Amino acid sequence: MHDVREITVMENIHGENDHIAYHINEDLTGKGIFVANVMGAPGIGKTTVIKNLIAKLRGHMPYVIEGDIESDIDTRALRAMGIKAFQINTFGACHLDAPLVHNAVQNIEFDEPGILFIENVGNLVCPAEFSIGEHTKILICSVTEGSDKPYKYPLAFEKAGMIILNKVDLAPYLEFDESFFMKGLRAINKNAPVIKASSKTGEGFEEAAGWLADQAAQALAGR
Amino acid sequence: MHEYPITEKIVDITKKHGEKFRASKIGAITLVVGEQSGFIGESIQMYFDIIAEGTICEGAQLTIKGVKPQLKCSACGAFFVRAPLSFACPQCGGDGEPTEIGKEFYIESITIETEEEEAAGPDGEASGVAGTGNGEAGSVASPENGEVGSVAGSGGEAGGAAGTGNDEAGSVASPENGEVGSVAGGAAGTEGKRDA
Ligand SMILES: Nc1nc2c(ncn2[C@@H]2O[C@H](COP(=O)(O)OP(=O)(O)OP(=O)(O)O)[C@@H](O)[C@H]2O)c(=O)[nH]1
Ligand SMILES: [Mg+2]
Ligand SMILES: [Zn+2]
Repeated sequence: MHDVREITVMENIHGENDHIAYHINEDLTGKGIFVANVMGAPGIGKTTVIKNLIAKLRGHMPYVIEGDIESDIDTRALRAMGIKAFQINTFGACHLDAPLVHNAVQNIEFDEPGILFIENVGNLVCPAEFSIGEHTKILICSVTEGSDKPYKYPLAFEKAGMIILNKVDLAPYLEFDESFFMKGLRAINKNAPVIKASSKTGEGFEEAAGWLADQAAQALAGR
Repeated sequence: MHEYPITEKIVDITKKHGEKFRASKIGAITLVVGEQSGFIGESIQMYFDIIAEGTICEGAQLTIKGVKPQLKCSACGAFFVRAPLSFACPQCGGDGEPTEIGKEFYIESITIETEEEEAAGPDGEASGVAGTGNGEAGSVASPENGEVGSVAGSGGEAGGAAGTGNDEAGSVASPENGEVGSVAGGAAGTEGKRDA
Protein backbone atom coordinates (compact mmCIF):
# COMPACT_ATOMS: atom_id res chain seq x y z
CA MET A 1 0.00 0.00 0.00
CA HIS A 2 1.28 3.37 -0.97
CA ASP A 3 0.45 5.97 1.58
CA VAL A 4 1.04 9.71 1.48
CA ARG A 5 0.60 11.78 4.58
CA GLU A 6 1.47 15.18 5.85
CA ILE A 7 3.20 15.34 9.22
CA THR A 8 3.40 18.42 11.39
CA VAL A 9 7.00 18.92 12.40
CA MET A 10 7.39 22.40 13.89
CA GLU A 11 11.05 21.90 14.62
CA ASN A 12 13.35 24.85 15.01
CA ILE A 13 16.26 24.48 12.65
CA HIS A 14 18.46 26.40 15.06
CA GLY A 15 17.55 23.91 17.76
CA GLU A 16 20.84 22.07 17.75
CA ASN A 17 22.94 25.23 17.71
CA ASP A 18 20.95 26.63 20.60
CA HIS A 19 21.20 23.38 22.49
CA ILE A 20 24.99 23.37 22.22
CA ALA A 21 25.09 27.07 23.13
CA TYR A 22 23.06 26.33 26.22
CA HIS A 23 25.56 23.72 27.33
CA ILE A 24 28.56 25.95 26.66
CA ASN A 25 26.95 28.58 28.84
CA GLU A 26 26.12 26.12 31.57
CA ASP A 27 29.61 24.65 31.57
CA LEU A 28 31.42 27.98 31.63
CA THR A 29 29.09 29.47 34.22
CA GLY A 30 29.95 26.49 36.39
CA LYS A 31 33.63 27.31 35.99
CA GLY A 32 33.06 30.93 36.95
CA ILE A 33 33.61 32.23 33.43
CA PHE A 34 31.46 35.09 32.15
CA VAL A 35 31.18 35.06 28.36
CA ALA A 36 30.86 38.16 26.17
CA ASN A 37 30.18 37.78 22.44
CA VAL A 38 31.80 40.80 20.78
CA MET A 39 30.20 41.70 17.48
CA GLY A 40 30.65 44.43 14.91
CA ALA A 41 31.60 45.25 11.34
CA PRO A 42 35.12 44.56 10.02
CA GLY A 43 37.68 47.01 11.37
CA ILE A 44 35.23 48.69 13.71
CA GLY A 45 37.60 48.19 16.65
CA LYS A 46 36.55 44.89 18.24
CA THR A 47 40.08 43.77 19.10
CA THR A 48 41.09 47.24 20.27
CA VAL A 49 38.04 47.47 22.53
CA ILE A 50 38.73 44.02 24.00
CA LYS A 51 42.31 45.05 24.81
CA ASN A 52 41.12 48.26 26.45
CA LEU A 53 38.45 46.48 28.49
CA ILE A 54 40.94 43.90 29.68
CA ALA A 55 43.27 46.67 30.82
CA LYS A 56 40.47 48.08 32.99
CA LEU A 57 39.13 44.79 34.29
CA ARG A 58 41.64 44.20 37.03
CA GLY A 59 40.86 41.23 39.22
CA HIS A 60 39.19 39.33 36.38
CA MET A 61 41.30 36.79 34.57
CA PRO A 62 40.84 37.53 30.84
CA TYR A 63 40.49 34.92 28.11
CA VAL A 64 39.94 35.71 24.44
CA ILE A 65 38.75 33.60 21.54
CA GLU A 66 39.33 35.28 18.21
CA GLY A 67 36.96 34.32 15.43
CA ASP A 68 38.43 35.20 12.09
CA ILE A 69 37.84 34.05 8.57
CA GLU A 70 41.43 33.01 8.10
CA SER A 71 44.17 34.92 9.88
CA ASP A 72 45.49 34.84 13.43
CA ILE A 73 47.12 38.28 13.66
CA ASP A 74 44.77 39.48 16.38
CA THR A 75 45.46 36.36 18.41
CA ARG A 76 49.21 36.78 18.11
CA ALA A 77 48.99 40.41 19.16
CA LEU A 78 46.95 39.49 22.24
CA ARG A 79 49.35 36.71 23.20
CA ALA A 80 52.24 39.12 22.87
CA MET A 81 50.51 41.17 25.56
CA GLY A 82 50.40 38.11 27.82
CA ILE A 83 46.68 37.47 27.32
CA LYS A 84 45.42 33.92 26.97
CA ALA A 85 44.11 34.01 23.43
CA PHE A 86 42.83 31.25 21.20
CA GLN A 87 42.01 31.18 17.51
CA ILE A 88 39.00 29.90 15.61
CA ASN A 89 39.25 30.15 11.84
CA THR A 90 35.93 29.82 10.09
CA PHE A 91 37.49 29.46 6.61
CA GLY A 92 34.96 31.54 4.81
CA ALA A 93 32.00 31.35 7.16
CA CYS A 94 30.62 34.73 8.09
CA HIS A 95 29.87 34.07 11.77
CA LEU A 96 30.78 31.83 14.68
CA ASP A 97 28.33 29.17 15.70
CA ALA A 98 27.98 27.12 18.84
CA PRO A 99 29.67 23.92 17.56
CA LEU A 100 32.80 25.89 16.59
CA VAL A 101 32.93 27.61 19.96
CA HIS A 102 32.26 24.34 21.76
CA ASN A 103 35.31 22.75 20.13
CA ALA A 104 37.48 25.71 21.03
CA VAL A 105 36.28 25.93 24.61
CA GLN A 106 36.96 22.25 25.23
CA ASN A 107 40.64 22.81 24.53
CA ILE A 108 41.03 25.77 26.84
CA GLU A 109 42.13 25.34 30.40
CA PHE A 110 40.25 27.82 32.49
CA ASP A 111 42.41 27.63 35.54
CA GLU A 112 40.82 30.68 37.17
CA PRO A 113 37.39 32.27 37.03
CA GLY A 114 37.29 35.30 34.78
CA ILE A 115 35.85 36.81 31.63
CA LEU A 116 35.98 35.20 28.21
CA PHE A 117 35.68 37.57 25.27
CA ILE A 118 34.74 35.91 22.02
CA GLU A 119 35.47 38.20 19.09
CA ASN A 120 33.04 37.24 16.39
CA VAL A 121 33.77 37.45 12.67
CA GLY A 122 33.62 41.07 11.43
CA ASN A 123 30.05 41.28 10.14
CA LEU A 124 27.02 43.21 11.28
CA VAL A 125 24.43 40.71 10.13
CA CYS A 126 25.02 37.01 10.66
CA PRO A 127 26.69 36.88 14.10
CA ALA A 128 23.57 38.38 15.68
CA GLU A 129 21.54 35.33 14.66
CA PHE A 130 23.63 32.68 16.38
CA SER A 131 23.91 32.07 20.08
CA ILE A 132 27.37 30.83 20.96
CA GLY A 133 26.92 30.36 24.69
CA GLU A 134 27.39 33.97 25.71
CA HIS A 135 25.98 35.71 28.75
CA THR A 136 25.87 38.99 26.86
CA LYS A 137 26.51 40.43 23.43
CA ILE A 138 28.63 43.55 23.11
CA LEU A 139 28.01 45.43 19.89
CA ILE A 140 30.80 47.70 18.71
CA CYS A 141 29.78 50.40 16.29
CA SER A 142 31.51 53.59 15.35
CA VAL A 143 30.90 57.15 14.31
CA THR A 144 32.68 56.30 11.05
CA GLU A 145 29.90 53.91 9.98
CA GLY A 146 27.15 56.50 9.77
CA SER A 147 24.18 57.05 12.02
CA ASP A 148 21.68 54.92 10.09
CA LYS A 149 23.06 51.55 11.21
CA PRO A 150 20.36 50.75 13.80
CA TYR A 151 17.81 51.08 11.00
CA LYS A 152 19.72 48.94 8.53
CA TYR A 153 20.94 46.24 10.91
CA PRO A 154 18.25 46.22 13.58
CA LEU A 155 18.84 42.68 14.81
CA ALA A 156 22.41 43.37 15.96
CA PHE A 157 21.20 46.41 17.90
CA GLU A 158 18.18 44.61 19.29
CA LYS A 159 20.22 41.75 20.69
CA ALA A 160 23.06 43.75 22.19
CA GLY A 161 23.48 43.86 25.97
CA MET A 162 25.89 46.80 25.70
CA ILE A 163 26.62 49.04 22.74
CA ILE A 164 29.96 50.80 22.36
CA LEU A 165 30.04 53.77 20.03
CA ASN A 166 33.70 53.67 19.17
CA LYS A 167 36.21 56.03 17.56
CA VAL A 168 34.48 59.13 18.91
CA ASP A 169 37.83 60.92 18.61
CA LEU A 170 37.05 61.02 14.88
CA ALA A 171 33.65 62.63 15.31
CA PRO A 172 34.89 66.18 14.53
CA TYR A 173 35.80 65.03 11.03
CA LEU A 174 32.50 63.34 10.30
CA GLU A 175 28.81 64.09 10.16
CA PHE A 176 27.41 61.68 12.66
CA ASP A 177 23.79 62.41 13.53
CA GLU A 178 23.74 61.18 17.09
CA SER A 179 20.09 61.90 17.79
CA PHE A 180 18.99 59.94 14.70
CA PHE A 181 21.28 57.10 15.76
CA MET A 182 19.94 57.08 19.32
CA LYS A 183 16.32 57.37 18.22
CA GLY A 184 16.55 54.25 16.09
CA LEU A 185 18.60 52.39 18.64
CA ARG A 186 16.24 53.16 21.52
CA ALA A 187 13.18 52.13 19.52
CA ILE A 188 14.48 48.58 19.39
CA ASN A 189 16.67 48.37 22.47
CA LYS A 190 15.54 50.18 25.60
CA ASN A 191 18.03 48.80 28.09
CA ALA A 192 21.52 48.44 26.71
CA PRO A 193 23.95 51.09 27.93
CA VAL A 194 25.37 53.04 25.00
CA ILE A 195 28.93 54.09 25.78
CA LYS A 196 31.03 56.46 23.72
CA ALA A 197 34.60 55.28 23.56
CA SER A 198 37.91 55.97 21.94
CA SER A 199 41.16 54.11 22.13
CA LYS A 200 42.92 57.36 21.27
CA THR A 201 41.67 59.23 24.34
CA GLY A 202 40.84 56.20 26.48
CA GLU A 203 37.36 57.52 27.22
CA GLY A 204 34.49 55.15 27.86
CA PHE A 205 36.38 52.00 28.79
CA GLU A 206 36.21 52.49 32.54
CA GLU A 207 32.43 52.71 32.34
CA ALA A 208 32.13 49.79 29.93
CA ALA A 209 34.37 47.61 32.08
CA GLY A 210 32.32 48.53 35.14
CA TRP A 211 29.12 47.45 33.42
CA LEU A 212 30.71 44.16 32.38
CA ALA A 213 32.00 43.46 35.87
CA ASP A 214 28.50 44.03 37.27
CA GLN A 215 26.96 41.72 34.70
CA ALA A 216 29.55 39.07 35.45
CA ALA A 217 28.90 39.32 39.19
CA GLN A 218 25.16 38.91 38.60
CA ALA A 219 25.46 36.04 36.14
CA LEU A 220 27.89 34.11 38.28
CA ALA A 221 26.26 34.75 41.65
CA GLY A 222 24.90 31.62 43.22
CA ARG A 223 26.45 29.27 40.73
CA MET B 1 27.86 29.82 1.87
CA HIS B 2 25.98 30.56 5.04
CA GLU B 3 22.97 28.46 3.94
CA TYR B 4 24.89 25.28 3.15
CA PRO B 5 25.29 23.89 6.68
CA ILE B 6 21.80 24.94 7.62
CA THR B 7 20.38 23.15 4.59
CA GLU B 8 22.19 20.00 5.73
CA LYS B 9 20.46 20.46 9.05
CA ILE B 10 17.09 20.73 7.30
CA VAL B 11 17.73 17.49 5.44
CA ASP B 12 18.85 15.79 8.69
CA ILE B 13 15.80 16.89 10.65
CA THR B 14 13.51 15.82 7.81
CA LYS B 15 15.20 12.42 7.58
CA LYS B 16 14.86 11.95 11.32
CA HIS B 17 11.11 12.62 11.20
CA GLY B 18 10.66 10.59 8.03
CA GLU B 19 12.45 7.60 9.50
CA LYS B 20 10.29 7.74 12.58
CA PHE B 21 7.32 7.08 10.31
CA ARG B 22 9.30 4.61 8.19
CA ALA B 23 8.92 6.82 5.14
CA SER B 24 10.35 5.55 1.88
CA LYS B 25 10.34 9.01 0.43
CA ILE B 26 9.74 12.60 1.44
CA GLY B 27 7.36 14.21 -1.02
CA ALA B 28 7.40 17.75 0.29
CA ILE B 29 8.86 19.97 2.98
CA THR B 30 7.38 23.24 4.17
CA LEU B 31 9.78 25.67 5.80
CA VAL B 32 8.92 28.91 7.54
CA VAL B 33 11.70 31.44 7.09
CA GLY B 34 11.35 34.89 8.61
CA GLU B 35 13.09 37.64 6.69
CA GLN B 36 15.03 38.45 9.83
CA SER B 37 16.17 34.88 10.40
CA GLY B 38 19.20 35.69 8.29
CA PHE B 39 18.52 32.89 5.85
CA ILE B 40 17.58 33.31 2.23
CA GLY B 41 14.97 30.96 0.83
CA GLU B 42 16.50 30.92 -2.66
CA SER B 43 19.88 29.84 -1.32
CA ILE B 44 18.36 27.05 0.73
CA GLN B 45 16.51 25.91 -2.36
CA MET B 46 19.72 25.91 -4.36
CA TYR B 47 21.67 23.79 -1.88
CA PHE B 48 18.76 21.54 -1.10
CA ASP B 49 18.82 19.62 -4.36
CA ILE B 50 22.53 18.90 -3.97
CA ILE B 51 22.36 17.87 -0.34
CA ALA B 52 19.19 15.81 -0.66
CA GLU B 53 20.61 13.69 -3.47
CA GLY B 54 20.81 10.04 -2.51
CA THR B 55 18.65 10.49 0.61
CA ILE B 56 14.93 9.93 1.14
CA CYS B 57 14.60 13.69 0.64
CA GLU B 58 15.75 13.54 -2.96
CA GLY B 59 13.21 15.14 -5.25
CA ALA B 60 11.14 16.56 -2.40
CA GLN B 61 9.21 19.68 -3.22
CA LEU B 62 10.48 22.48 -1.00
CA THR B 63 7.99 25.19 -0.10
CA ILE B 64 9.35 28.22 1.69
CA LYS B 65 6.94 30.52 3.48
CA GLY B 66 8.55 33.90 4.01
CA VAL B 67 7.49 36.08 6.93
CA LYS B 68 7.95 39.86 6.95
CA PRO B 69 9.22 41.22 10.24
CA GLN B 70 6.63 43.11 12.27
CA LEU B 71 7.07 45.58 15.07
CA LYS B 72 4.61 46.23 17.85
CA CYS B 73 3.82 49.83 18.67
CA SER B 74 4.71 50.61 22.28
CA ALA B 75 2.04 53.30 22.37
CA CYS B 76 -1.03 51.86 20.66
CA GLY B 77 -0.14 48.19 20.42
CA ALA B 78 -0.59 47.91 16.67
CA PHE B 79 1.55 45.41 14.76
CA PHE B 80 3.13 46.83 11.63
CA VAL B 81 5.76 46.33 8.95
CA ARG B 82 8.19 49.20 9.20
CA ALA B 83 9.06 51.75 6.53
CA PRO B 84 12.74 52.08 5.55
CA LEU B 85 14.87 54.04 8.04
CA SER B 86 12.06 54.27 10.55
CA PHE B 87 10.64 52.35 13.49
CA ALA B 88 7.63 54.65 13.87
CA CYS B 89 4.09 53.31 14.04
CA PRO B 90 2.15 54.29 10.92
CA GLN B 91 -1.00 54.86 13.02
CA CYS B 92 0.22 56.95 15.93
CA GLY B 93 3.93 57.60 15.42
CA GLY B 94 4.90 55.64 18.55
CA ASP B 95 8.07 53.56 18.70
CA GLY B 96 7.79 50.08 17.30
CA GLU B 97 9.35 47.40 19.46
CA PRO B 98 10.83 44.22 18.06
CA THR B 99 8.73 41.07 18.06
CA GLU B 100 9.50 37.48 17.17
CA ILE B 101 7.54 37.87 13.94
CA GLY B 102 10.02 37.69 11.09
CA LYS B 103 12.63 35.69 12.99
CA GLU B 104 11.01 32.29 12.36
CA PHE B 105 13.16 29.51 11.08
CA TYR B 106 11.59 26.11 11.34
CA ILE B 107 10.26 23.12 9.48
CA GLU B 108 6.50 23.37 9.58
CA SER B 109 5.55 20.07 8.01
CA ILE B 110 6.68 17.30 5.71
CA THR B 111 4.80 14.99 3.42
CA ILE B 112 5.90 11.39 3.71
CA GLU B 113 5.32 8.42 1.47
CA THR B 114 5.27 4.95 2.96
CA GLU B 115 5.04 1.55 1.30
CA GLU B 116 3.98 -0.60 4.21
CA GLU B 117 1.14 -2.95 4.99
CA GLU B 118 -0.41 -0.99 7.74
CA ALA B 119 -0.06 2.71 7.86
CA ALA B 120 3.13 3.11 9.82
CA GLY B 121 2.82 4.86 13.10
CA PRO B 122 5.72 6.65 14.61
CA ASP B 123 8.11 4.66 16.76
CA GLY B 124 7.09 6.06 20.04
CA GLU B 125 5.44 9.32 20.65
CA ALA B 126 5.97 11.86 17.93
CA SER B 127 4.62 14.97 16.42
CA GLY B 128 0.97 15.05 15.60
CA VAL B 129 -0.15 14.00 12.19
CA ALA B 130 -1.87 16.74 10.32
CA GLY B 131 -5.43 15.91 9.58
CA THR B 132 -5.96 14.09 12.82
CA GLY B 133 -6.74 17.41 14.37
CA ASN B 134 -3.23 18.62 15.08
CA GLY B 135 -4.09 19.00 18.71
CA GLU B 136 -0.92 17.29 19.81
CA ALA B 137 1.61 19.41 18.09
CA GLY B 138 -0.48 22.48 17.95
CA SER B 139 -1.26 22.76 21.59
CA VAL B 140 2.29 22.68 22.79
CA ALA B 141 4.26 25.76 23.52
CA SER B 142 2.51 28.39 21.64
CA PRO B 143 4.68 31.24 22.79
CA GLU B 144 3.29 33.59 25.34
CA ASN B 145 1.40 36.55 23.98
CA GLY B 146 0.77 34.73 20.73
CA GLU B 147 2.82 37.17 18.73
CA VAL B 148 4.40 34.54 16.65
CA GLY B 149 1.53 32.22 16.33
CA SER B 150 -0.56 34.64 14.45
CA VAL B 151 1.75 34.77 11.51
CA ALA B 152 3.51 31.50 11.63
CA GLY B 153 1.26 30.16 8.98
CA SER B 154 0.02 26.96 10.51
CA GLY B 155 -3.62 27.70 10.28
CA GLY B 156 -3.51 30.83 12.30
CA GLU B 157 -3.88 29.56 15.82
CA ALA B 158 -1.10 27.24 16.67
CA GLY B 159 1.99 28.70 15.17
CA GLY B 160 4.58 28.44 17.84
CA ALA B 161 4.28 24.81 18.62
CA ALA B 162 7.16 22.58 19.35
CA GLY B 163 6.12 19.11 18.32
CA THR B 164 5.91 16.66 21.15
CA GLY B 165 8.37 14.45 19.38
CA ASN B 166 11.20 16.90 19.42
CA ASP B 167 11.75 17.82 23.00
CA GLU B 168 15.44 17.95 22.36
CA ALA B 169 15.43 20.67 19.78
CA GLY B 170 12.23 22.26 20.88
CA SER B 171 13.10 22.68 24.48
CA VAL B 172 16.45 24.24 24.11
CA ALA B 173 17.02 27.37 26.01
CA SER B 174 19.05 29.91 24.26
CA PRO B 175 21.06 31.20 27.14
CA GLU B 176 20.17 34.83 26.83
CA ASN B 177 18.34 36.58 29.58
CA GLY B 178 15.22 34.60 29.81
CA GLU B 179 13.69 35.48 26.46
CA VAL B 180 14.33 31.94 25.61
CA GLY B 181 11.13 30.20 24.70
CA SER B 182 9.96 32.63 22.13
CA VAL B 183 13.21 32.85 20.24
CA ALA B 184 13.43 32.06 16.57
CA GLY B 185 10.03 31.45 15.33
CA GLY B 186 8.41 29.96 18.31
CA ALA B 187 9.51 26.50 17.43
CA ALA B 188 11.70 26.84 20.47
CA GLY B 189 10.65 25.52 23.75
CA THR B 190 7.97 25.22 26.27
CA GLU B 191 8.62 26.33 29.76
CA GLY B 192 9.35 23.52 32.05
CA LYS B 193 10.70 21.44 29.25
CA ARG B 194 13.95 23.24 29.34
CA ASP B 195 17.08 21.19 29.49
CA ALA B 196 18.23 20.77 33.06
N1 LIG C 1 40.90 56.73 15.63
C1 LIG C 1 40.58 55.57 16.20
N2 LIG C 1 40.95 54.43 15.61
C2 LIG C 1 40.61 53.27 16.21
C3 LIG C 1 39.88 53.23 17.42
N3 LIG C 1 39.66 51.93 17.77
C4 LIG C 1 40.25 51.20 16.80
N4 LIG C 1 40.83 51.99 15.86
C5 LIG C 1 41.57 51.57 14.67
O1 LIG C 1 40.71 50.84 13.81
C6 LIG C 1 41.42 49.80 13.13
C7 LIG C 1 40.77 48.46 13.33
O2 LIG C 1 40.78 48.11 14.70
P1 LIG C 1 40.63 46.60 15.19
O3 LIG C 1 40.53 46.64 16.66
O4 LIG C 1 41.65 45.76 14.57
O5 LIG C 1 39.22 46.26 14.55
P2 LIG C 1 38.47 44.86 14.50
O6 LIG C 1 37.02 45.17 14.58
O7 LIG C 1 39.02 43.95 15.52
O8 LIG C 1 38.85 44.37 13.03
P3 LIG C 1 38.61 42.90 12.40
O9 LIG C 1 38.93 41.91 13.46
O10 LIG C 1 39.57 42.85 11.25
O11 LIG C 1 37.19 42.89 11.95
C8 LIG C 1 42.85 49.85 13.70
O12 LIG C 1 43.64 50.57 12.81
C9 LIG C 1 42.66 50.58 15.01
O13 LIG C 1 43.83 51.27 15.40
C10 LIG C 1 39.50 54.49 18.01
O14 LIG C 1 38.85 54.56 19.08
N5 LIG C 1 39.87 55.61 17.36
MG1 LIG D 1 39.81 41.99 15.31
ZN1 LIG E 1 0.94 53.14 17.43
